[in-house]
Amino acid sequence: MRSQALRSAAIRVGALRLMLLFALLLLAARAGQLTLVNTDGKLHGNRQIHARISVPSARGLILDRDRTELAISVDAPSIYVVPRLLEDRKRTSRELARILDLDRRQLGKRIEGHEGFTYVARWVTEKQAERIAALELQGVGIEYEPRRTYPAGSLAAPLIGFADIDGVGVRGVEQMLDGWLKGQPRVADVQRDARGRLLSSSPLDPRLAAGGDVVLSIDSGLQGQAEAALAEAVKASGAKGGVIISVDPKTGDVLALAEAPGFDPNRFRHMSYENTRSRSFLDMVEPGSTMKAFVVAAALDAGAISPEQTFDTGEGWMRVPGKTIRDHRPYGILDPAGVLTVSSNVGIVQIGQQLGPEAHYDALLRFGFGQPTGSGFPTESGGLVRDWQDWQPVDHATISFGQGISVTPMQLAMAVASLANGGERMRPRLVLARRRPMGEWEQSEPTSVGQAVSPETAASVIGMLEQVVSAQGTGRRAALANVRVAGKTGTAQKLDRAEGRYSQTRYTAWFFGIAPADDPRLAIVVALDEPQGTAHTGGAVAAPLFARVAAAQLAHQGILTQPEQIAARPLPTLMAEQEAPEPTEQEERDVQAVQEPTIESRTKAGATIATPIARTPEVAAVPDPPEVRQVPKVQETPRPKAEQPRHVASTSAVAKPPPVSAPPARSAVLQASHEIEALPAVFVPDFRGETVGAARSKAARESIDLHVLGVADGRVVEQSPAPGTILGGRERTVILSFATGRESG
Amino acid sequence: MSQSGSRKKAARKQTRGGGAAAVADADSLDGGVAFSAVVLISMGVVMSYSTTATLNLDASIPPLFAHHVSALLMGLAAAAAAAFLPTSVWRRLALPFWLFSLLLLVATHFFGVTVNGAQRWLELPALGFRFQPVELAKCATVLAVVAVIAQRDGHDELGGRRVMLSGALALPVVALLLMQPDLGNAVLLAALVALLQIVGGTKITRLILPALVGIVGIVLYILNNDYARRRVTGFMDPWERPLSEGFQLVQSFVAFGRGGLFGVGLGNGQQKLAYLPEAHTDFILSLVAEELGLIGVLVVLGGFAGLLVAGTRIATRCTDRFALLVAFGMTALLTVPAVVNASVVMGLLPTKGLTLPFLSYGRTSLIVCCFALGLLLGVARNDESPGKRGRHETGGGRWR
Repeated sequence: MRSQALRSAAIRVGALRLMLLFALLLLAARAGQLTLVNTDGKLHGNRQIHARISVPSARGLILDRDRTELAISVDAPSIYVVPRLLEDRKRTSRELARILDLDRRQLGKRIEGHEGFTYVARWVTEKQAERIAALELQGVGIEYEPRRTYPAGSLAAPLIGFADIDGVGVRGVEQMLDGWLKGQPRVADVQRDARGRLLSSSPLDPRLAAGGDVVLSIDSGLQGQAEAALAEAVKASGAKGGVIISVDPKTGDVLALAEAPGFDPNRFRHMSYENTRSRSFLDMVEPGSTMKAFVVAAALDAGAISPEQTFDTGEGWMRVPGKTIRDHRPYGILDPAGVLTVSSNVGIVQIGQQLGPEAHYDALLRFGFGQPTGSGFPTESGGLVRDWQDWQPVDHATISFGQGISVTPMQLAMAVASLANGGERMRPRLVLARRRPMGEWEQSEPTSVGQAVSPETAASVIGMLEQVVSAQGTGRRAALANVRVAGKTGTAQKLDRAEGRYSQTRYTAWFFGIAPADDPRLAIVVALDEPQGTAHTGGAVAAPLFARVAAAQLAHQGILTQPEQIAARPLPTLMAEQEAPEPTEQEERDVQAVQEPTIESRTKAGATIATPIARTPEVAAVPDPPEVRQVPKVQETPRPKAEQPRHVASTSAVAKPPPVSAPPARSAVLQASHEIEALPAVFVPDFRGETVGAARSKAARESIDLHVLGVADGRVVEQSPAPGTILGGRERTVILSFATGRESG
Repeated sequence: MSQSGSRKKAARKQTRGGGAAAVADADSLDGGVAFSAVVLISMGVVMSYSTTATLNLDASIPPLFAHHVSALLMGLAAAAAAAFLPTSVWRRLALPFWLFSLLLLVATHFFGVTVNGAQRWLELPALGFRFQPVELAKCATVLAVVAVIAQRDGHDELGGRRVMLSGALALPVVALLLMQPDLGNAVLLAALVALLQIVGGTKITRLILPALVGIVGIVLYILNNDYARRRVTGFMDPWERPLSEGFQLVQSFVAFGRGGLFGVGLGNGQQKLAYLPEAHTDFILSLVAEELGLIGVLVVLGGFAGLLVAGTRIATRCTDRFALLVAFGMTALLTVPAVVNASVVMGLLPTKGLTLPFLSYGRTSLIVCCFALGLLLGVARNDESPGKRGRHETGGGRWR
């Protein structure tokens, strides 16, 4: 039926069909091989898509004790490229460089160097991200990742620290609690498509991946006040920097931790890492005379001395093997309180010797020196206290007044707090509470690290330290109205590393205070690094700063007070009408105290004006009402009898360097005259007609203290001394009387 | 065996007599071809949705999927037209059809849209989409070559003149394709013409020289063309450069590897997420492998095997030379690209840019494939039972 040709065609068709079927069979085998046998593809595929990136979990919050946000996480856009997908590399890098303000050539290199997902710029602004999105460049994408921001800016920055661009805490609390704050960075099976986009927008409940929150012990308000006061003081004194640490002695809570210079953690990328350290925890500083308080406390506690015991500081110098220890001037016979009040080096060395090096060393350790405070602050320094067996006599002597020993401001603060806490030393509590995301707050309890001294000793030492903040003491500028303050000044010479000896021009000015002394709520340490000029001592610059900060913090706790101007004991006027009987030891101490060195030297002008000013009303230590008839408000009164000759001498003093072998007892004359030279004389400005604020600022410009008689309301109507009077030396107080606006009008 | 089978079928049809036309039409559908085609078209629809959905996540219905379905509807209309018109009509239309497609290719050369460095598309506002004349040209050229070869001149052997003539028909089309450039389709078309000539009765020896010339030409072309050379090196060792030359093939392997036996499940494929270039067009088989596994690939390959067997069975049963060649030509037009495409996807041939009939996204391709399918079914319907339908209908009795 069918033709031969048709049949042969059918045969050929059949042959070709067989060939094609064979090809299909081959393909089926190949498919089996690729799907079942060959695993290269599967591995490669898993690699490229399951690029197990760790989902950047948002860091937890850092809050202050009132739950104010100090560190939060927000989503910030980052720009990435997938160079493989770029259509026009030149144009892409040009456009990106333009919008992101980057170097075009560097950007080009970055793009050339990669094939896959590569960040171009991280944490760009929303505006930049929008502009880039508008370009619709192939292979360029925007990803939102959590960015750490610090809404309070530089507030408490050295304490809080910061997290770096990858969300790793590298300073401060951010570093200390990094594991808690970052939570669990789930290495989720997030998958990207080939363009680098995440395949699912939110693979996890972000709260599950998010870090925990923490509440710090600091109070933003107090912190801000302390920082402002510190910044002002640093500026006014020309200091390089400074620290204020305020601690609740009962709990060890750090209420405020101000450091200068500070930094803005939002701009950490523009900071050197070194400059973001916390000086309070990391810097080792010589504590100077502040150490004396702890030597006295240790000696009392060990029974090496008694509070009534006296020490003859003689002519204001003593020899220890290898060194002559000097006071600013002779103080004669002092009891322990007197040693602290006038900050006698000779006296404290004697006390230290009575205590003995081993007990001295042990006491320093009990107060927490020589080891980290246990705050947990990252890379916290332990200070430097050499082992007592290595101490030469001269070392022991200088360590007694804080030379040859290094402490961190935080160590000092906790040691002070232990005195204020009945001798029990607490661990600094930086963190009050923490919680997991969606969890409950877990409080952290105050932790005691041990008893430094007995409660009795602590109370006794605080009583002595109150005298430091009296008219006779070096710390009188730390006084507060209606609140008893205990404290201690310190002026540490800084070690001049280049010359290998202590500098004569660079100091650390210290003050620590406890307020109220009868019911301690605050232990505050103030340090200023290299204050310039003559007012570089702890008593001159650190003590008033303490008063400002303490007043604000006490007000926060409901104790209304303000810094109080106390004139130094006005020796001359008191003395002028006094008999001069032989001073008792006790009297001698007081006299010496009044003659306190370095800062509070008398001057001619000072001698004429100073009227004793009311002080903290009750100091039981020195009851002698009959002697104080000229200064009726003053109950804490030194014996004035012995002072007269010295006053006479001092007012006529001629400046000379203090000789080592100065004439005994009366060498105070020369010492005082040395001090007189310290401040240039000024004319008393005319304050009349000024308001209190204007008067204060005017006085501040001339380094003049103001004392207000009566109510500081309205305008100045009277002043003493009169305008134009020459004021010299360090004691320059002008007394002002005000009339209210109504009266004067 | 097959002869007797067809007889039985014819007999069954006869006993039913001349019922309603629709019933007769349904009965006259070639079951094998229709079933295979339904399998392939269904796979195409499903995979088209799966792969194009990720290209536009905002749309509730992926626009490309809508295109695919609309093209399918047009294609089914074209298939119906091809099936119901007598084969003789197509014999008369073959050469004008070829001329028309040639003109379109020429137009493409001058006015075409360039995508990915090749000028292959023609913007036709009336159609509402970009038209790819090459698909039409392949079909039309096959049809024209069949028409030329079917003229027998009374000899058993295909005369040299007709071989030359059929070659001459293919030559301008191949040349135009090379100019686009579209080496893959050019080679495919040349191969299809050669197959038709072989089936038509050409001595194999006659084809050796052109084949040699073609092979040498291809080698020279590849050596002198960076793009082509990279594709070949990428094919030779894709793992050597998995991020550049070998990228596409490696990604295809990834899809196969991920798929395993049963696949990751429909819609779960990841290679379509911009990893595999041309995932929804040339490399759709990779995605079948990834989402449906080896089973899915075997279904697709089986579909083409079924089409091949059923289509060639239609050809071998034809009593009309033209019908035989049309049946074979259309079968080859649908299955040879499938074999080539699958080989490319599985790394057995260098990347060509050939679509997988019925599955790949591409409206022109889908419509033309449906049309070819329609022709095949039409041949089966018209030529299966020559006794009943009569010679005059096929109009090919001259060379019996």
